[in-house]
Amino acid sequence: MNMNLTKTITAWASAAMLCSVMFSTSAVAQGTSKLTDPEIASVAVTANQVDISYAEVAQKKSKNADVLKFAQTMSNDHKAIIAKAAALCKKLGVTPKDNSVSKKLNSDAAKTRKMLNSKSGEAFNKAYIDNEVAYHKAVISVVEGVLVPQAQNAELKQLLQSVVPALKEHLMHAEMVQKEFTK
Amino acid sequence: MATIKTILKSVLCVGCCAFMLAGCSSNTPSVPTVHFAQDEYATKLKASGGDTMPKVYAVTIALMKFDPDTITVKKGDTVVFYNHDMVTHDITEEHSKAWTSKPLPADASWKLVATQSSDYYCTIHPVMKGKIVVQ
Ligand SMILES: [Cu+2]
Repeated sequence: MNMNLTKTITAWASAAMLCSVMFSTSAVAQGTSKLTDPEIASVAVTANQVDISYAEVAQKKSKNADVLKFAQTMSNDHKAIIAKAAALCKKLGVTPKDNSVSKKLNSDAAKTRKMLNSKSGEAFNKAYIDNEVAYHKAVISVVEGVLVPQAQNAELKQLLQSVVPALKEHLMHAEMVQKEFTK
Repeated sequence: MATIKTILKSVLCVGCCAFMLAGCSSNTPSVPTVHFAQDEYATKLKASGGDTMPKVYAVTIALMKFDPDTITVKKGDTVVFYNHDMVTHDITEEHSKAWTSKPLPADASWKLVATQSSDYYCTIHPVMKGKIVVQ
């Protein structure tokens, strides 16, 4: 296959993947009436758990040092964010409440893990890191576009805002690693 | 390994002394009565002309950034890094990993006595970069 064609197909595939993630999250967000703070807390915790679950798959399947290092950072950082969110929920007396957005995140994640588990070697590394790029873009747009504006409690709103720089750094880090697999 | 630890310890000690002395506003600082690092410190002072007091500078790590990301100091000054983020970071010399803080958890701090200009980064979050300029 010629190089340009390969590149085009790759670009299409990642664009399509990103679109589907963005579409499903924004569609869910639009289809729901405003989220309550307990629902927002649940979405935030779930979004972090999902990325930890992807990191666990990578730690099992990858042998690439940069992928493993990235996965370790995802696991540690998203656990730290969950701990912070859990502490705030406890302080505010908020019990995270399952809802359509967190359910959709979980069901999409199960499909993605299945797809990742079906791959190995270089193909796995590329699929994992492509998904990390797409997933972080999608989560950033949900946090900035839905969770922050809809959060009622000021401290919850502030915590969500303070997570955005970490998500953006993770996205740039993922894009750095992605370059290795997009030649 | 043992040597590195010893060096690290004495660097930290000098850092402490520099910190204590810099906090003293008097022109004639009372002679610190602490341990061996004092001699090392005195030697350093003499070597640098003897009349300039080492200063202590702070770099804050917050929202995935070093702030300020470029800091200009004199040789022998101390730079203290405070991690105010919710995640663990590190501060590592960029080109040869000549020095590193090792993982610095949330709310922890780490100090470095600046001996030469360095570019540094966080190995955990390689997007995060900073610079120490020694004049
Ligand atoms: Cu970092």
